[in-house]
Amino acid sequence: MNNRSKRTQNDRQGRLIGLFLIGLLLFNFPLLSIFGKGEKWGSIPGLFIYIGVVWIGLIVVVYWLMRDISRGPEKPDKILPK
Amino acid sequence: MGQIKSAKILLVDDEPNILVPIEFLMQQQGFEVRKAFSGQEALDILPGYKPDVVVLDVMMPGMDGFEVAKRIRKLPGLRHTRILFLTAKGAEEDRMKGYSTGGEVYMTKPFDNDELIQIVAEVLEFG
Amino acid sequence: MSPLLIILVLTGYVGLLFLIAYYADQRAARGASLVKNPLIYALSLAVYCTAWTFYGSVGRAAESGIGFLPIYLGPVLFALLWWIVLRKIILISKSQRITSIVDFLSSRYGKSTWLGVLGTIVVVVGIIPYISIQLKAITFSLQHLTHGGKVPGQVWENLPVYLDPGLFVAVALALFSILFGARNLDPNERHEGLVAAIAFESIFKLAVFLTVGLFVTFGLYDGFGDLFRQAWQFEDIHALLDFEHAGIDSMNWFWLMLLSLFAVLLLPRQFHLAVVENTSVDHIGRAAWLFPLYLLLINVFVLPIAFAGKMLIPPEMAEPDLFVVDLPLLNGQGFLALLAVLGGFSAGTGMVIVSTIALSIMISNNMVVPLLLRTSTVREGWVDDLSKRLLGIRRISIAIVLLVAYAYFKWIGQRYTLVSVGLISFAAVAQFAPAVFIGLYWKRATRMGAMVGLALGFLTWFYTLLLPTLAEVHFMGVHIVESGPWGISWLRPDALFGLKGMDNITHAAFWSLLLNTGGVVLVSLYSRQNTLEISQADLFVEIYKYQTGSIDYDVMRRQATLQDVTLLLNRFLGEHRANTLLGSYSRTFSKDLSKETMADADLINYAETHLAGAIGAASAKLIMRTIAKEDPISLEEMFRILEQTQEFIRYSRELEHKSAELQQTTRQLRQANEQLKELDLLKADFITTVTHELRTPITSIKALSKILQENPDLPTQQRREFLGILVSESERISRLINQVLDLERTSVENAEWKIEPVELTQLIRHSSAGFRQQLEEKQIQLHLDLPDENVWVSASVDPLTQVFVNLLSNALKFCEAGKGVIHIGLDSGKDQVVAFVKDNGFGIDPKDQQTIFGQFVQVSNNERGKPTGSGLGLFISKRIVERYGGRIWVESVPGEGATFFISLDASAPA
Repeated sequence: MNNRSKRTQNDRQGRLIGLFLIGLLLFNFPLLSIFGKGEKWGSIPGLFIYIGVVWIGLIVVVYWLMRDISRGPEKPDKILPK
Repeated sequence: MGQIKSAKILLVDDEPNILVPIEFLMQQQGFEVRKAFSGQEALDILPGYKPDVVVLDVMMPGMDGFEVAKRIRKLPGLRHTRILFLTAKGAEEDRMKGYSTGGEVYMTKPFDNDELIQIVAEVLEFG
Repeated sequence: MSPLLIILVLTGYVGLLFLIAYYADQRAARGASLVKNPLIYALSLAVYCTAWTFYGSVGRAAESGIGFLPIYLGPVLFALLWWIVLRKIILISKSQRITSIVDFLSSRYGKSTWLGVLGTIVVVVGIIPYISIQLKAITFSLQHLTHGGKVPGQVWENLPVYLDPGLFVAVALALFSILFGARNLDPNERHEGLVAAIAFESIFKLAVFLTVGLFVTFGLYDGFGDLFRQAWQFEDIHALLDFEHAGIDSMNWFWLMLLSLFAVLLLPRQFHLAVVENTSVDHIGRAAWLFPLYLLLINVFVLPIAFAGKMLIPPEMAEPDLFVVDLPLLNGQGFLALLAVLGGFSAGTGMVIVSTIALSIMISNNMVVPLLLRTSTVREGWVDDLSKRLLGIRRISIAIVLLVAYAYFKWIGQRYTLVSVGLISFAAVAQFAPAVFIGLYWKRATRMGAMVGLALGFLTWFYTLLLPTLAEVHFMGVHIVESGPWGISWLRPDALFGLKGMDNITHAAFWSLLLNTGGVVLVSLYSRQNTLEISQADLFVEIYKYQTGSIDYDVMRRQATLQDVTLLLNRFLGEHRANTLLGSYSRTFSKDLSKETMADADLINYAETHLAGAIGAASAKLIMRTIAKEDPISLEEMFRILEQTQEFIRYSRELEHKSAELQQTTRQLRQANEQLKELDLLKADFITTVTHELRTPITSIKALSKILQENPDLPTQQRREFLGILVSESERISRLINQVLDLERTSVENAEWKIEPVELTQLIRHSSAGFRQQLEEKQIQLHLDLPDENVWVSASVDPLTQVFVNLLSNALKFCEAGKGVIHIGLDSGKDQVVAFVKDNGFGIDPKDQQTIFGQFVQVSNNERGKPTGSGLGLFISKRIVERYGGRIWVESVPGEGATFFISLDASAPA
């Protein structure tokens, strides 16, 4: 491990916390109430689309933030033959 | 790594209670183990036993570990024997002395079981 | 549909689950684990989606539009923090071998038994409503399937208990859970088969729900657009999307989100799968987006199904909680309806199995066994076959939990919707949140604080949420709820302290969490922690520091000489490559290495990375560790090792009584450290010497206890041998500590050092009295050749006694058992008094006769092995004697024994 990976580690934590706060904001009142009057986009409820888009957005960003951990090789449990 | 299984280890420490766990760990790995409780005893065993690795305590009454290591290096037929110092000392100059007398690795007490096993394995692999 | 067919299909499904579990266990035994990957990990976490999700979400959506969603948005948001919070919890739990959420709590707060008991009660009581809704959902779905939809009159409800299919469902689930999780005991509480089965259930329920959703959206309608377009024609459906009409307000929304955020980690089954069954922390990386994705998928069709149900099912037949079954059923899709019931069954069983297993682990490990072990009368017999009884306890607790849940369902739960009952449980487990999360980051949180907070929160929860449900079914007077107990209106359970205008969940969550958090924080500020609490708190909060080889830890501490680094690179990469590498390093970072003597952390990391290319990362790290300077082992570190050992021995029944000894040792060591800190003795070299002396015993204690811990199946004989060494080495530490304490005493100017007339014959008799037993054991004779008259010297009583005790115990050590003779004598002159202690042991070599009075000098002899002293006794004696202006020396002929002399100034009688 080097300093750079430590930095990315701290960066990652900071970004995740930031993302959490953004998500908290987007998924809550008062922003939510913008769509709380039964608006429709086409025939689809605006609320349905809004929440869906934010949700997918969060998934994509987390995927992007975590991609190097996800792809990292599995650590072998034991190095030695038993 | 297949050949590691049959490795021979010699453990040298004047504290029998430290040798007990190491002996257990090494035997668990399938290694052949012998013990010596002083430097002199170790030197008596060495030529006949020809171990792959010697785990050597530094501070022993009589002959200390560095001295034992120096003599091992002079013994015929032990050129492939690897030396792992295991000691309560950790000071810089001691460590350098450890390397200069022909030790492969220098570990301090208390050691971590897995780390010891791993280091012995590494040492065997390089050797 | 014929009940027989349904029973056959359900049995077949259960059989399949067992096959999967069996196969996974087989694979695990062969070392080719199925479950050690992030996908299975994420899927197993989807046990969060129970029958509540499968049926209840649609039910909730039919009543309040998107009001079903906060329960999923909370977890989605929390998943963003898993990499930070969950990872820490897992690392702690692995290092502490934690088996449940309650265990985690008790362990954090000094391994408190009572906190464990309280926590178990909270979980068990809190989770009963949740399990009951699974029974309800499964039972009702079966009822709809056999009767072809909702039948007015609720036929099964009126059946006597012994004929109620609901009871059979409960009994079947109990058997099922026992077979899954309480067949045998696993020391780590890991069940790969269970995890595989749960992951399969997660796939299955999602697939079924999506199938039903697709059928409704694209089979009954022409896609989302068509479905929604038709729905807008109904005024009541359109109104569901208006927050005001649907009854969604910001308070309720926020609190549901918060409760579910806590629940996704703190519910016993979630904690079990997310933490206890976790095989690698790195799996969190992928689970953090896979789990939200799963939740998204399972929620996409909720609104369409709810709307379709409201449009297509006539109001008198409508049971919104079961639209998922009824929509296919009433549209001639019997098979799909059966599949839907199976999907709900799978969601419900997954929850019940893991929950009851997790509960049974808590009940046995954190309640029954600790309480039994505390009562010493049952101890003897119990300990012998604890493991057998443990299994019995687990099975019985599973059965009891399910029967109580059935009772709750039968008499109370039937009246409420799935979601409203489930939320009661969410609010209950949320009571763990303050103690767990505060304890994770704040070391000062005390056991008292956690107890008070949890108790307050639980009582508030019980009073504001559970009590009203009991009252409504006439378990007690309704007037308590309507007008408050004794008519005191500000004590009304649904409007505590006059707080009105909130729904019951928000109201209860607010008060309980407020009082709970307040309790944890305030009581912690005003209570003290004991030593174990302090060290556990440190271990939890600073887990990354303790995680050897963790990034932060390494980077912070490493430092080495440039010469060392160069030497290593030369050795493993060859001189030529080493030079090239160092050259390119100094060019890249513009550092002139020829001017440096120390290698900084960057260079060490650089060298390590390149070594890793040659010999592999793990080896590189280890090799690097041999040259990178680490702090010498600190006393703090040693406390930790000792505490772990002591903890281990506590659980080892052969040595239960010995643990007290080790406990005392640790305490003494701490005390010694405290005292040393205050004194001028805290000179670096002295501490170094003491820690150095401690290394030997600590090394074997550490290595052996780890071996014992990792090899539970050692033969008894070997076990005994190892434990014996553990004990004798810990005794060695105690001795050393006692002497360090003595030494400390001799070096301080204080009242103890008042020099006064001391009567020596009396003092010698007194000092030797304590040795009677040891003398008898070794069959050594002691002769006191003392004059009859009093002999007075200038000294002080306690330190001088210490000197004679030291000399005597030395003499004892050097004498051969059975042959030893020790003389203590006096020669009193006019100005001087000379006392001597003479033994016939193996003597002291002339070259050692001066040095033995130094610090940490031991005379050893290879044939006899090491003497058992610490090397401080004579040093201390010398300091004491010289303090009185006296002298101490030894005369010895090797092989014939040694005589220690002390000369002191004579004094006038007192």
